[in-house]
Amino acid sequence: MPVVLIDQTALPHRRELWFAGAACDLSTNSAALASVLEDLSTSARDSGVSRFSMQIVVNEGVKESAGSPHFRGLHHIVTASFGSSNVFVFDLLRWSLSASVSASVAGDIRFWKERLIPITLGVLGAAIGLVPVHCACLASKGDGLLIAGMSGAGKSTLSMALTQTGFNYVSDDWTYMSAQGGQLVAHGTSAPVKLLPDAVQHFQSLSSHSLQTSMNGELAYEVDVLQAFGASVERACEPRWLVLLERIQQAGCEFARMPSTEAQEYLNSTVERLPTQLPEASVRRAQIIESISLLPCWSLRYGGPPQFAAKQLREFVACQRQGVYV
Amino acid sequence: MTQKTTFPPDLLRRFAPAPYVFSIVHDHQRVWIEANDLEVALAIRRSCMLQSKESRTRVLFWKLIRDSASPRGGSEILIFVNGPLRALHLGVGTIIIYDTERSELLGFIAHDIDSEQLVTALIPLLTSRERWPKNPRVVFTKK
Repeated sequence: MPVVLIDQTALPHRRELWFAGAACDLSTNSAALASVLEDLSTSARDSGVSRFSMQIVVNEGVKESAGSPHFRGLHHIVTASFGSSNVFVFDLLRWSLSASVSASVAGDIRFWKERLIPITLGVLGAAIGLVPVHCACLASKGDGLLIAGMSGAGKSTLSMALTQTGFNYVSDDWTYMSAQGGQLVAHGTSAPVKLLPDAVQHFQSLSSHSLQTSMNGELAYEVDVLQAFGASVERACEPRWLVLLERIQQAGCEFARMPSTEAQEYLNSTVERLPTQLPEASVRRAQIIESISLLPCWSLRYGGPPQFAAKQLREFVACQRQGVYV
Repeated sequence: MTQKTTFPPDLLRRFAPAPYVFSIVHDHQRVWIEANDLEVALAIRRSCMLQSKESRTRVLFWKLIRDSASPRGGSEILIFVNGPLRALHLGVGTIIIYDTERSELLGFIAHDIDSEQLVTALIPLLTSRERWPKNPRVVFTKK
């Protein structure tokens, strides 16, 4: 029976890493894993207060690769396992992640980049003041455009179309929001862009990629935004506008101003419930959601190709800057 | 919006109902037990009441969920200790966490683990270090 006892003094490889503006104090017994995670750390050092720790033991004798994900949670604890040898325990009160992983998983950079780091930020985010919000984020001249909408509304395809009109890519599905010195900041992660199979109709470059089963079981293209679209990537920006997306049958674009109360109600309806053991996280998250809803909010109903909606949005943002629609 | 907005589903089963609740006082300590399985709740209550003062666990809050939706397979036990947290994984479907600082024991129990096995074999592995094997197939240890 394997017994894994983690002692801080026995995890000699330590790094201060940065993911989506949050600092991560890593301790591990594996130099190889420390190196993999260091490669994924962003170079930008933010002055934010979000910080968490990771203690990861690598079992060099086990070669099991990452299995199917299985998540559970009770009170302040969330667990994730990827097969019986790769176990992660998140503690939302102590802002920490403890894990025991196989040597194969430790060296699998895609696992950490596309799965574990985004999962960690999603699980610990609300507790550490980096609130995951279900929206895409694009940036133009440093100004952030948040695009919210239900799954399937077309956030990702529109985001990719926007990158082809000069917007920089920050995120396409989950954006991590923090409030630094009273300023709202939107952060992206290393997660790949996920596009549903019909996106290939709009983006020829996807035809050279194959469909994969994503973590929620959907069949989708999961591609690196830089490699697949040649998009410019921005790690963070200050959000200026929120657009709530809705797909309609007929071709066209309709913008309508949305009251902040409606935007707030929508955003609150998309976040997962937090247990009562995390009152501070609940308050912090509510404050950030309120700040987002105080941005100028618009609903956008559109039909037709995403490139058409992207062109309209680009003009919309230009007009917003000039104060035309305000 | 394309459809009416609702709260996202509880994928982690954080809010799984645990309607079987016992509150007992044993040796001047109140112990709270919650479970969604009557057999599990009764087994925990019985084991708490039978413990002598010397062997009593320090768990004051128990919440155990019988997890019929858990994946099947695997029989290997992994015990994982980091600071105040002790975690036990059995296969891929059973996970039990003991937070020694908060005196809480939380867990999801796979369908094929019976309550007797839970109480007499698995939980003691977490609550008493003496139960850890003398020569385990240790993957990493330093204490």
